[in-house]
Amino acid sequence: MNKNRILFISIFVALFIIVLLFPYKTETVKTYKHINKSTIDKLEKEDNIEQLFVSDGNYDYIGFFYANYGNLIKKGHIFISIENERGKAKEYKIKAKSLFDNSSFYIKYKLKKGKKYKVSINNNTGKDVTFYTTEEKLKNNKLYRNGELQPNNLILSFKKNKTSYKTIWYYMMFLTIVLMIITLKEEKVKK
Amino acid sequence: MKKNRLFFIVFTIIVSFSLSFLFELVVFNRNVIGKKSLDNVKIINNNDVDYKNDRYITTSKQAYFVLDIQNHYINNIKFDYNSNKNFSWKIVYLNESEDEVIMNFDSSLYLNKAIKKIGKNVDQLKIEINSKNIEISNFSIDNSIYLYWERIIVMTLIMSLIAILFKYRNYFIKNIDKAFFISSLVLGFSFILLTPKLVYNSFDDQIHFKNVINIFQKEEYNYSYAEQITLEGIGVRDTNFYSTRQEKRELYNYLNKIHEKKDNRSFISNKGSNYYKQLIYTPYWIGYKISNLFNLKYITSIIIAKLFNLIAYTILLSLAIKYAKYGKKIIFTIGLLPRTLFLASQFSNDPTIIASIIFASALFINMITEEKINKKSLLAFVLLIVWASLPKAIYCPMLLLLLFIKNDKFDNKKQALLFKILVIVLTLLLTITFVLPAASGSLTGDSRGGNTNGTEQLKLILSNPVFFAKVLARYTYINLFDNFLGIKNFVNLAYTINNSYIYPLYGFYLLFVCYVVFTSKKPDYNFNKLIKLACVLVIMAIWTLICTALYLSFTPVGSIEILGVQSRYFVPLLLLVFYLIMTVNKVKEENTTFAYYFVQIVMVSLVLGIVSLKIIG
Repeated sequence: MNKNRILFISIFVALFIIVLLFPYKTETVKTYKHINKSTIDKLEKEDNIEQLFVSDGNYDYIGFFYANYGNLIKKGHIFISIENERGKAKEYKIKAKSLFDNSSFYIKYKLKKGKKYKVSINNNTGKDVTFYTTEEKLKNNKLYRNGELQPNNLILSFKKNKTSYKTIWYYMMFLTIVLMIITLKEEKVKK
Repeated sequence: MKKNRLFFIVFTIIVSFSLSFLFELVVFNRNVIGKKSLDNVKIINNNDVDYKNDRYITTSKQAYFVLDIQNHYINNIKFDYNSNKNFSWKIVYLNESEDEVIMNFDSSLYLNKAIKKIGKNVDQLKIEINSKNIEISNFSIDNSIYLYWERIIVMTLIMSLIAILFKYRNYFIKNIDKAFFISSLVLGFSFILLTPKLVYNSFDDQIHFKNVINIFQKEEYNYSYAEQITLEGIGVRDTNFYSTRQEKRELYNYLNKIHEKKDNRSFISNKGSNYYKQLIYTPYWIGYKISNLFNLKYITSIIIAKLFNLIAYTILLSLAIKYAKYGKKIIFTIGLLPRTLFLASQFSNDPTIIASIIFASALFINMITEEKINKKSLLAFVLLIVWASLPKAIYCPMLLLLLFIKNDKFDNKKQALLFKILVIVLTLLLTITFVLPAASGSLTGDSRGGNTNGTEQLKLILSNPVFFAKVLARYTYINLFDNFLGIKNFVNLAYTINNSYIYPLYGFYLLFVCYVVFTSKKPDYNFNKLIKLACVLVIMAIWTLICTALYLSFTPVGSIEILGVQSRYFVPLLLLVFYLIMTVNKVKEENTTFAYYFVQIVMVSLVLGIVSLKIIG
């Protein structure tokens, strides 16, 4: 085996090991179905919404489908509190200026499969905001606005981080293309 | 010689500019020539408004003003306003036949001026404001001359292009790739200038723009307020907002101003797709980043981003024309179709995919019809298909065409076999990138298609393949022609205009394409029935993959229709299809004429003219 071949093989093996040691971080997202998608009445400062739900899996983030009627809100916060079955609550203060209209935003919170949770949302921006709802039949979900039961539920999204070794496929594609080049070149050298 | 050439080009540009300027002034402003503007129009009646500090403030949703116009001509009605929300309002007046005309508008909280077109002589005008707490002042009639600079530049460029192609026609007739290069750049840039500068013009361009800005798919990213407003699209995609060019200009100025300040904030969103799929946006990203580096205005940065991708598209297709042995004129024609040029001028991953696959198709035919394989062509073919397959792996079956190259075209049989094995491996690896997510149950479906669920849909296909085969066959029978040679692949500009204005040009384009295909020399040597069968099988495989992918992701579970399939997905395959149907043996490939270029440039110019007059918003 000549020196060049050894060098090529060593580089490729080293790259392969690096790809294995530093895999790509990706995520899976699950969202409630958008059945008769609508919005809850706009939230003013005194209003409070509470969403009860049961997590159908283990997740790292929970997402809310938010809207602000086309207003670019530069000040104020959305307060979110998530309470688990044991009554332990974690509170979040989300800067409204970091939220996109008609988009989901996520907060980091570990959810466990089969456990009940209660999310409370308050609007402290001074501007009108709302959240999208769905009429998907969700057995254990209930939505309250200022204590009144609503006929639909907030559209929630759940995100889970995962490691992906997809980079390996792309590494192998790169390797295949390089081997193609070597295959076409080598015969010329041999001649 | 060079000095004469330069003098001619400069002289042409000056003359074209002067003519365009005069045309814009005299023809498009003819209604306002000699007419005066009127400031502070008299208000003869109002309702539910308070007057404070030289301004009117609406106190209910039924507020209105009646303006005394005294049969003045109104080109545009203007007023200043201040509002913390978007609001709707109406103009009501009586026309010549005493019929009531009602015009509905929306005004944005981002601007402070409403400028709306009327274009009539009116006695009295009623303005109804359907919102409380809007501060209004300075009603005026604007009859000033408005120069639509983008149109002037476009007319200048197109006239100069035609003059230069005519003057140097002997050169361009023999160098069709160079003729394409300048034509594509001029006409594509014209689309960039005349279509709205932001997004929501083309299919999912707001998603592509977001991918360009956040090309590395960072989970937390700090968008500027201008980028946020652009992506959110409120008002931008609604025809009632910014319905005049003057208002659009006001919006652009506002966005330019707020883009300079980037507040300290970050958006957490989905990680998005694998970053290898993002590579296709590289030309846009380079243009956008260079512009930001030089602190160019926001709108200018967007134009430059689009221009960089147009250049990439043009270079690829020019090279395809240069190196193709067969079908140069066909590539030229496909490249200058209004549909493909429009896509090349907007945020989209289609243009470079189209250009790459067309280039690869031309190289494949070259390799088939040569005695010995050109290794550079072979590797270029592989790289082009991989490049196009990174964002859309459904095109990877094109690689399998290489299996039909005869082994004796390689240096020896061993090399040929080894290479073909690597082709199969590469195709499998690309296929796995979209098959694995489906097989692992992580297909979620696109909610825009309704009650979609990719995993459930896949289970249905696997449990009842005959049902899916019938769905596919039915879809193919109904839509095969439309998706390849239908109206949308020739004359469709997505959301920028009411496409019925340009649909009449479809007949011409279909005939013209047929003319070009059936007067171009067909590949002869070695382009036999087996190769043609291979091409047909590859086209069918890609068709099946596209239909299946959209059935999984965009179609409600169990539907007998396939939703979401768009004809632009098949534009890359057009050249291969045309190679299969070409019939002429004896005509020289190099025969082009100035008329051939002129006709196509005039047709695209016609489309551009319609765009400049009928643009939505």
